[in-house]
Amino acid sequence: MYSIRKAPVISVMFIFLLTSMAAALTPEQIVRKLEANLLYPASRSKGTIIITDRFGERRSSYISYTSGSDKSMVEFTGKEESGQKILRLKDELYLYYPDAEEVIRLQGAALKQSVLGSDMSYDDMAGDKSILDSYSVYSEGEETIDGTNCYKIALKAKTRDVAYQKQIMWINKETFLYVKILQLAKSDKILKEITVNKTRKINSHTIPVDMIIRDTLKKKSSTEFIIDTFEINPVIPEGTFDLQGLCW
Amino acid sequence: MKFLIQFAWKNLSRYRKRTVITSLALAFGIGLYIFTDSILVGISEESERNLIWYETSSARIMDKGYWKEKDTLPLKYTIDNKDQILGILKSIGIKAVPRTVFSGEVIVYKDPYPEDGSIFTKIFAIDPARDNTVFRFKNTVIKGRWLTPGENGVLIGSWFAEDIGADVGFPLSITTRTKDGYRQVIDTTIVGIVNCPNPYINRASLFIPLNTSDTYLDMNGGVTEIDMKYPNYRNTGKPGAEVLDKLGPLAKKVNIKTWRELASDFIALAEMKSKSSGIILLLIFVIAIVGVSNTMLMAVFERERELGMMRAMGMEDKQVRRAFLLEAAGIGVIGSLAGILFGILLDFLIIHWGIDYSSILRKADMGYRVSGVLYGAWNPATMIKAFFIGIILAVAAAWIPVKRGLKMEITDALRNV
Amino acid sequence: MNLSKIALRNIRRNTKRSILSATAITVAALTIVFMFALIHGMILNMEWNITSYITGEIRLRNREYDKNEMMSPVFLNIRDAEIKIKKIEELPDAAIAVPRIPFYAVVYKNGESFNINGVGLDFEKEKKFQDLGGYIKKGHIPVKGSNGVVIGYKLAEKMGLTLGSKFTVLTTTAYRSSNAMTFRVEGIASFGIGGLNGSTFYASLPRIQRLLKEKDAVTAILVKVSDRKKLKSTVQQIRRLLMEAGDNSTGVKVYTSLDTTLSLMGIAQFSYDIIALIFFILASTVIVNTTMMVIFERMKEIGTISAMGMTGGQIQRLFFLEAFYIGILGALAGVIIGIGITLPLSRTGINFGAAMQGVDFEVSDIIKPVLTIKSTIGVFIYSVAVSSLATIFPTRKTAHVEPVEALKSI
Repeated sequence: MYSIRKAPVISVMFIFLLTSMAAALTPEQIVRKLEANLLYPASRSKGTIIITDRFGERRSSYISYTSGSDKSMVEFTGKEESGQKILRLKDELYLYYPDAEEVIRLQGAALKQSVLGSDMSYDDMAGDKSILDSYSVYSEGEETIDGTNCYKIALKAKTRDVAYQKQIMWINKETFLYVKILQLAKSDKILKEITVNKTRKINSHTIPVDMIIRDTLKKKSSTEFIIDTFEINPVIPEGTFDLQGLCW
Repeated sequence: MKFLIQFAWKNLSRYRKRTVITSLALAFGIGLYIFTDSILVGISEESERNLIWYETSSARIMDKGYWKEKDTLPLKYTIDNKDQILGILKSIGIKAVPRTVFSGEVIVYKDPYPEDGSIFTKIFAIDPARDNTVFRFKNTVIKGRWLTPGENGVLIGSWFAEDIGADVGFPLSITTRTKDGYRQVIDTTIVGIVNCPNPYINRASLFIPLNTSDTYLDMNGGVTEIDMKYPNYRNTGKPGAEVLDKLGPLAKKVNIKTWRELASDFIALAEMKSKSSGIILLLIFVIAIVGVSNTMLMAVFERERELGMMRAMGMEDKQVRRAFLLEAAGIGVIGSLAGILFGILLDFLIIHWGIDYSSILRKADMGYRVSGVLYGAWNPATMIKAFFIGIILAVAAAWIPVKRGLKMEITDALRNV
Repeated sequence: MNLSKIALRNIRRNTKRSILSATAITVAALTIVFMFALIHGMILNMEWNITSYITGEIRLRNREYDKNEMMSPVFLNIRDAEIKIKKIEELPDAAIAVPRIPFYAVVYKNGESFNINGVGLDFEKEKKFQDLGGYIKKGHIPVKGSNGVVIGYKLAEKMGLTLGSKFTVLTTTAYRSSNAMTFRVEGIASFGIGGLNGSTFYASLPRIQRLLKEKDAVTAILVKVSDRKKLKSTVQQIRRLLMEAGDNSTGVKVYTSLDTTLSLMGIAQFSYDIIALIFFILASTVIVNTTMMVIFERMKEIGTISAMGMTGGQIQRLFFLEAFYIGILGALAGVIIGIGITLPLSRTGINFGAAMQGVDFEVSDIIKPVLTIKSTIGVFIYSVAVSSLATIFPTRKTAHVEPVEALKSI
């Protein structure tokens, strides 16, 4: 009698347990899903960067090619930066300028300079490692950001090759793309706030097509990335990622 | 000879007025010569002093790797055993202080500042208790106060403060990277404004306490440099070698660069070195010689009658010459000594207090812009030189008229008024 | 009694004494003339250096530029520079106007980085404006629009560059993005301001405008006027020009109101003034001393003429006149000889560089002494005044001396 009455309770409990287990992804799993969403064998995108600082607003356009997570090449197509290229091969960054007879390799402190005067520095671009290689991740529960249910994940640096010792990410529970990222100084002061305003679904990937980085210390300073076209596995011209190819 | 010395002395003390005027001419010339030399040396040393007192120190110990990347102010090359090195330096009597220098972006906001802004600058993390044993910033705080250890306080250069509209009590954020490369923000409050005569420092520098930067930058006690003060900054070779020697095996890990090497890379606003000091001194010298010899000549010419009298009384020409030359030498000694004393007095005034020329520069109504004090410099070599030149000059100036007087017939000489 | 006749006779009678005191005055006057001319020359030289290399006599710059000068704000610029320069040069008193774009840049070379200063300028015009041709030590001035540069010799040494070497600079453009360009060393220079030698290179304006994406803009226009007296009116005219062109972001300043000039010139002027003062005092004491000596030595004479019935006031006047005539003679000779020495030197200049040999490239500082009214007529009047006034103190005392006392004093 006891056993009979107990059975449905157990099964209900079992079902309840199952669903809650499905919901309780570990923070590592969440980050892996985030990275899987952003990783494609190759991509080509065209976009616009809008940089705002206390002196005003500037726009620049670019074409970007990526291959895996360790190679990328950005070519600026806007009038002012026309022909400039940034090539990244693993941790190395090379700058090509049409009027310069040599390619400039950035290393060390030079990597801390900002790209195009934006809120992004070269070392923000560099690095092909997984978040999990550089950061320990912790779950900080779930929150709703602008009506989107998100996981809140805290990142704490475990290696010394990253720019932020601490980051907090809100990751969309459905698409596994971040909705918002806070990047903190070692003293816990918020330095940058990244928000994704618009996404687009391409193949099985959710791509952020309108993203804005705000420098929270400098009130009028922000950098907005707008992706106009995005292709996954496109035909990439040969030599795109060759150092020699930079100069054509 | 003893008689002649006595004779000369009696003459000197008897004609006090003449003695005083002649010696005075000499003293004045010599004193002002010494003084001018002191100022000229002072001027030419001024830029060096400004460099050494406020920028480079006599010499700097850095990690071996630092020098090549010094322009980027890297934090990765640090001296981690600073206390050991400081101990060794102390044992050989060399004053030294640790410092960490890094670059950062200063961010300020409208209210209390006139407007939002950010600017890249150089930040010196200094030991508030000891820094002044090598550098001199503590004396240049014109507003507010000096740093206290461990506080989140910052000292700012006066031009810099003026450029961004900062004042004591204003908040100031510095963004930078820690030693490991993490981005970091140091929120500080301006506790004081420094106004040193080194424009390079005044224009773009901040100072924070060393232990504050140690915490924020994760330096673990490491510093980027140890600055030393040698007893005589011009002589950097000998103490440098001694430091290297005493450091022993530690020396392999570090570089020692003297202020000359350090300064060669800084952009001097202008080289104040006066190449024409030679000409100026020469002119001063010429006029001093003219003054002295003229007075001497005059003094002897006027005494042709006396000279004749001495001869008439049976003194040998040689003795007469000696008596007069001894007298001249006496005036030389008195005048030179007085001149050196006069020079030392003037030197002391200009070396100790200097002449503050800030007020001159302030005429264009622009707040505290440049501050500056013109200091002299001791130059014992000049004093010794001046002393002997003074005596030789006095004797030489007497020689010609005495010789002339001795050639004269005694009667002619006596007839002279 | 004609005192001046007696005075002249006295001077003539004791030629030796007269010549001696006159020589003292001559030499004093001569050295003061030369010294003042030299100091004036040095100040002018410094002023020329600053106005030619850095500020111009009038500087046009964006009003916001000063505040942000540390970051080298190439985006705070002056548009339509060429037209504005042309219009400025059409003004009656503006002799020459040159465009400049100073900027900071980094050179990465063999793993080392160098922070350097570049200046984009018009080579042709700078030949006149800052005598560019005069301090090129090696090579030549590059052709306009080419990638050739003139570089400070110390900087060249530091970066291991020689004539023909190439280097690539990376900098921030007017759009605050980055850009790089490769340049070629065509001239090695030794600039008049030492600090520039280790930090600066000059490149052709069109190339720098391209590098910095300035289009037709520059960050500074420096103006020299034909007559310094017309500085203020020219500033007003330039301001009017800018207003007519609808440009209200550009500020116009006279070099004397700029901090750099003021501090540099102020310190120099101050230290030179002190030296001149010391010199002046010393020269005056020589005159005073000689004059006093003459009078003390003539105590007996004073007694005699006093015994002969000359009053104290007459004696004083007599000695004053004697000193006055000798002063005129000595000072005139001094000033004339002084001019005689200074005038040829003011054309050829004195080369202080020669005295500073040792460093093979050391700046050859040629300073041309400059004669002024102050350093000629002023010195003449001063010397005469000092020598004659120097008689008052000792003669005032002797005038009260009893003839017997005065006669006794030898």
